Amino acid sequence: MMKILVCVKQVPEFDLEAEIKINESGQGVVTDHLTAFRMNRFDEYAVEEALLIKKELSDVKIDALTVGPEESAAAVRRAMGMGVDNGIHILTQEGNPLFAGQVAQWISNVVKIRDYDLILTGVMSEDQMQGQVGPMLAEFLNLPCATSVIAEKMTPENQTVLVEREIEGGYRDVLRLKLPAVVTIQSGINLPRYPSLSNVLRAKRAKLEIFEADSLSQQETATVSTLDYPGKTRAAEVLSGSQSEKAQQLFRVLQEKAIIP
Amino acid sequence: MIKKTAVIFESFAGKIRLPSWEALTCAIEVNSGNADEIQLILLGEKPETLAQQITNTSGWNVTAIETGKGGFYNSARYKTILTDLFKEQGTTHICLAGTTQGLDYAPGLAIRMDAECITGVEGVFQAGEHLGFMRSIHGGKIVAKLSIKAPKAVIVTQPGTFKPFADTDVSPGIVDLRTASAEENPTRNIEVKQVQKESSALAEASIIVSAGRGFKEEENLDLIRQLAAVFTKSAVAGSRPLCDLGWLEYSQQIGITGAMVAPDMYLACGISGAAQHISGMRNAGFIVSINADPNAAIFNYSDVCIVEDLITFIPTMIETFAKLKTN
Repeated sequence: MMKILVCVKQVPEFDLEAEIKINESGQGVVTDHLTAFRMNRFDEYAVEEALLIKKELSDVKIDALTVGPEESAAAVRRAMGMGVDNGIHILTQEGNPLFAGQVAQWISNVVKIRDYDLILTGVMSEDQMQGQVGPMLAEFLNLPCATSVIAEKMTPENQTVLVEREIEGGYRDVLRLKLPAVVTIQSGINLPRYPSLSNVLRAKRAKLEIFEADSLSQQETATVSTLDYPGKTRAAEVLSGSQSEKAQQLFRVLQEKAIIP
Repeated sequence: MIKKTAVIFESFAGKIRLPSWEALTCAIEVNSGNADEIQLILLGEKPETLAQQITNTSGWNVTAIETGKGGFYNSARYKTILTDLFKEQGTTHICLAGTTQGLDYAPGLAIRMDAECITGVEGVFQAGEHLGFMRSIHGGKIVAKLSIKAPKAVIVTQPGTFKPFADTDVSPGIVDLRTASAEENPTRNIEVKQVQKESSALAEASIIVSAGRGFKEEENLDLIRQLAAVFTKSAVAGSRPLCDLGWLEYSQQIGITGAMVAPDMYLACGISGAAQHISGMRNAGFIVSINADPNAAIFNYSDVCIVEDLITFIPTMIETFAKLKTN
C-alpha cells in the first residue's frame, strides 16, 4: 500500500474588497467572529492531486495534516470532506505567530516515524506567501523535493515520481524523484473537487489525531515580525467625480502623457 | 560579528537572469552600502564565459562552479555544493533572486546552513543592531517587517523590486573556476522543455489591458476585450487565478511564472495586486488601476487609481473615449 500525506493550511478568507487591519500587538491582522476561514487554495490542488493518485493506483491511503490553533482543524476536515482518509492536527497556542522553520520541524517530528511515500503541499500559502514549509520539511526529513509542480506521474514500480516544475517563460523543468519525496503543487494542475455530502458527514464524526506542538520541539526563532501598511511607489492619484467624469479625466491624462493620440 | 555576503547568480539559455542583478543590489544594501567583499557565485555547464561577464560588469570576484554536462539545475546538488562552498568561504548572508529556481532550493539551503530564510524580500532596513527585511503578505495589503537576530540568513528577493545593479566604473575581478564532483542523487534531471511560446503579443504591445478576479464571472471578460480594442497596439492579459480558471490562456498570464512586461501603459482592471503579479508589471511606463476595492494593493503601484465597479465603469470609459476621440 502507498501512503500519501498532504499538508494543508487554514487561512483567513478576506473578501476581495476587505480592508485588512493590523491588530494591537502589531504582529498579526485583526480577525474576529465575522472572519471566515478556509483551506489555502494552493493546498486544495495538493489534496486533489493526492485523490487523483489514489484513483489511479487504488491501494493508497491519504492523511491530511495541519498546524495551527483549534479552529484550523477545519482545513483537515475539509480535506477529509474531499475524500482524504485520516486527519492529523498539530495544535499550537492561539495567537502565536507561526514561523516556517518551526512549522516544518513540527511536521517532520510527526512524520519521521511514519513511512509516507509521498508528501504534498501547496506551493505557498495565500496569507504569508513564503513557499518555505515544503522544501524545509524535505530538508529536515532528508528527502528529495520539487516545488511549483504543474504535472506529476507516480511510478511506484520503480519507486519514483516524475514531476514537471513550472519555471519562467513557458518552460518546465522535468525531474524524476526517488520516493519518498516532497512535492509542492502549483495552482492549475487540476480542478479541485467540492467535498461530497457523505464525506463531509464522515469527516464531521471522524476523530483527528492530535499532537501538542509544545510537546514536539521548540525552536528559538530568530525573527521578530511587525506589520505595517504598504507605502506608495508611484503618485497613486485617485480620480474623483462621476463615472464619466473619471473617464474624461483619464482620457486627458493619457493624452498629456502621449499614451493616446 | 563579521558579515560575509554572497550572491548566487542564475543563468538560463546562456544568459544571466535579470533578477540576479537585483539580488546583487540587495546584497549591497545588506552590506550597508559597503561593496567590499561580496562574493558572486555561478553554477552551470561551462560557466566561465558568463562568470567573466559578471565580473566585467560588477567588478567583484566570481566563483564559477562547473556542474557538468547539461548544466541542469538540481536542488539536491545545488544545496550540497553551496553548503560546502559557504562553509569554506565563511559566508553569513546569501542573497539570491526569488525565481522559481531560487525559491526551490533556498529554504532547504537555509535549514542546512542553520540560517534564517526570508523569501519575497522587497526592501532592507536596519533594525537597531539587526538587519531587517520587508515583504508583502495578505495579497499585498500588509507589509511584514522582519528583523533577523540570527547570525546567518538566506535572503530571497522578490523579482522586480530592487533596481538591477549597474555601475560603469568597475574593473573586472577574478574568476575562480572549480568543478563540482558528481554524487549519488535522489533527483534526476530529465529535460527542460518549452510548453508555451512566449507571447509576442504581450512583448510587442504598447498598452496592456489586464484582468483580475474582480471580473467575478467569465462572461464579464468580454468587457476587457472591448476595452483593449479602444487602444492601438494593445493586448489582453490577466492574473494567474483567471488562467487557472481557464478564462484566459496561460500565455496571457502576467507575473513571475508568466510574462514580465513593461509596456507604455498597463491598465489593471480588477487586479488585487499580489506580489507575484506586481513583479511582472511594476516597471510599466504608466500604470492605471481600476478596482472596486479602495484598499486594493495595486493602487500603491499605480500612477492613476480609479475606484469603481468594473462592470459599469468599463462601458462608460469605452463610450467616453470614443466620444472624446472624435471631437
